[in-house]
Amino acid sequence: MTPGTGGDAPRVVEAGLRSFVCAYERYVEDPFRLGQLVAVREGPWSILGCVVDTESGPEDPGRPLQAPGGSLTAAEVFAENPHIRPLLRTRVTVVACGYIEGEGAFALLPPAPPPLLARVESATPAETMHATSDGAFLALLVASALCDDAVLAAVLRGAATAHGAAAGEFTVRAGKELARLLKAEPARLSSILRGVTA
Amino acid sequence: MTAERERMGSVVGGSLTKSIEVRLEPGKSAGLGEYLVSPLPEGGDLLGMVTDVLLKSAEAGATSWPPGADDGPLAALLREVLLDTGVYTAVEVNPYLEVEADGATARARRLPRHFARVTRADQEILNRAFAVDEERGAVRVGTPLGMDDVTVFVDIEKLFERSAGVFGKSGTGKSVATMQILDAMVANSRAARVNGERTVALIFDMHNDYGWDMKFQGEGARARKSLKQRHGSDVAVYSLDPDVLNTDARLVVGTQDITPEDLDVLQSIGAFTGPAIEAAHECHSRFGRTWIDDISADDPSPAVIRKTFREGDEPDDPNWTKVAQRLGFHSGSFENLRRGLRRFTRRGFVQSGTGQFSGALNHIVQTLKGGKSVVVQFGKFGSDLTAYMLVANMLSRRIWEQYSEAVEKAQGRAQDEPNRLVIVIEEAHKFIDRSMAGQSIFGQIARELRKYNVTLFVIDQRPSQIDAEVLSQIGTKFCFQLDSEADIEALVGGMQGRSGLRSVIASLESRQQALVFGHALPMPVVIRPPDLTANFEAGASLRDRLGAPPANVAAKLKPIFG
Repeated sequence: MTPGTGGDAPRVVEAGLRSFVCAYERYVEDPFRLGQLVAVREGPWSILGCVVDTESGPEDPGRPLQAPGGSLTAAEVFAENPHIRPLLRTRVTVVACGYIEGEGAFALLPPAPPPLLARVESATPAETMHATSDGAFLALLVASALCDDAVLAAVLRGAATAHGAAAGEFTVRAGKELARLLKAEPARLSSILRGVTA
Repeated sequence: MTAERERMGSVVGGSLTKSIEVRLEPGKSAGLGEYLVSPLPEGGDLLGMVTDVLLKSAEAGATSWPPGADDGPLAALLREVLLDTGVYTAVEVNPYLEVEADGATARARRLPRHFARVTRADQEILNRAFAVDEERGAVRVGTPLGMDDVTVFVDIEKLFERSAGVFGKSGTGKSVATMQILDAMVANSRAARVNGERTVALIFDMHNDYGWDMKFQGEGARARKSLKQRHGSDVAVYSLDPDVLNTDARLVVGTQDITPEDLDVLQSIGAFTGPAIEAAHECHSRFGRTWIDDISADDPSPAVIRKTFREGDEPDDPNWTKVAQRLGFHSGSFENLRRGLRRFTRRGFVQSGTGQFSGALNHIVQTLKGGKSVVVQFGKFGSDLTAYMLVANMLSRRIWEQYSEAVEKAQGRAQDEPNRLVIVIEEAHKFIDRSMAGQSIFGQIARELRKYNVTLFVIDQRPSQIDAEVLSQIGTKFCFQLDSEADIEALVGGMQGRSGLRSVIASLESRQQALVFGHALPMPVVIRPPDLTANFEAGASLRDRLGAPPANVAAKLKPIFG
């Protein structure tokens, strides 16, 4: 199974131009990973985004999850209590970092938010390479208050993997873009690159 | 054309009177003295020389908290990432020349726009910038730094239109450069159609480099052919040293040929004091042409007594102290003069009486006017600065007088004027230092420009010691490595972009690199002079270099061959 798909793909439940939230229909243990590039392919263009946060919990915040006692593992608890899982949800926050329209990839905000309830899927390696090749996608991420250093490091790591043998060149190219964006914040640049090389 | 040049960066700031700042593109580098080109807004290109290389940061952060110096992956990545982003390389470029598309050049009066593309100069634009008339003689001065496929030529006529100089520390290549320039000049003169178009040199060859062969410290043989060997019929060699081989004649100075004016310049090296020179003038005036023989004697002769004391006033026991007192000089000053003159007369090239100096002088003048250059070699007297200065001063004064007389007499009729003469002197600052420039014939020649068809070609290690007024008259300067700030400042003072030129001179290699600038060049150029190989060819006309017949020959051939 592709990481992050968790079986059924999550769907957009809150949508904005700069970010959107998608939710799985139930709690999943392997949601999209931090920094993973995802795509919403429904609509006139494919919107690409970067996973900046994931949270799981009860669907109804007024009914908090009670921790059972004993020595059972989480999987054993879920197996013995199959009614719990449908009451839980996993939600993923995504920051938009570009869109693909026809043959062109644009490191810009999409013209419109993704449709509500649209399926959110992992970006393919080709989409990832297309969208990240020149490092320009980083501008939207750096400008977002939702993206911290850990997210930027994670997205660079993930994108480098998609670039395969050219991962090193991609990292330097993206790092230079990041250095331009963070020219007045050398400590932050160091922190992000430390996360990339870790 | 421009698209073919190597892109180097873009203009990010600057000033016409100082320099332009060019931010280099990633991976590009440019060294001091290299030429860069940038298009001007209204057309044409601006050509400038790199005078400084700067390491700059876009923000202080990158350099305040630089990446670690270790080889860890983070430090390595940070270093690579910050290069050309947080930190970058820029160069300062002195703007010198506007080069139009049609080849016309003019001094820089405009600047490129911000972010204008900057490229490395190529052969084509340098050819346009340093273009020399192909019918006129040119000397190959070398290749600009970092541009081995480009050769810079200097128009010989323009080079010697005004005085010129070669400056640099000992061992930097001054003599080789001088020989190459003189070689081209002699070759060019030979190709001249009429004698009046020839430029000839009178070379006072202190270290015996410009006669038969020259000492050479490079690879291979320890000597290279010099002017006499290369241009036998166009060069005459005189020697003060009878043991020097391959000379045309020996030069002997008679004591009666020396006048007090000849001794004036020797004050600068302490051979005589000022009062001693005054005493010399008095003795010359009182005793006539035999004055040196007279006062060099152990005791005053009856003739000296007679010319010094009134009849009846002669002392009973005449001696030089009494003679000095009678003439109104301190005996110490008079003794200084006598000791100095006696040292002279002990030298092998000085003979009591008239010697053959006048005859040799006339022969030299006729040789020069006949279109041949003359080398005066000093042989074993080369290390004797007093001998060098005395002879150079004696000959130059007399020859200059004859030249100026001939020019005055010609009254503007070019065909009656003598051909151009270049006097080559080494250790020039001894002749034209601050205290002597007013009295020295060489100071006068430099100041007169080419009014009398005579200019100077000075070779010197200490330009700061040369009188500033004289130095300012040196039109074209070949500057090899100099260490002293004062020497560098003396050469570039008053030049546009002098701070940049100062940096360039200070960064020259200790051998075979020179900054050439001034009258004969449209802009300064840092060059590596051509190697002095056994078959070295410094110049002659471009037509000659291309193997084409001279214009006059070509004109004659045309009716025959069509």
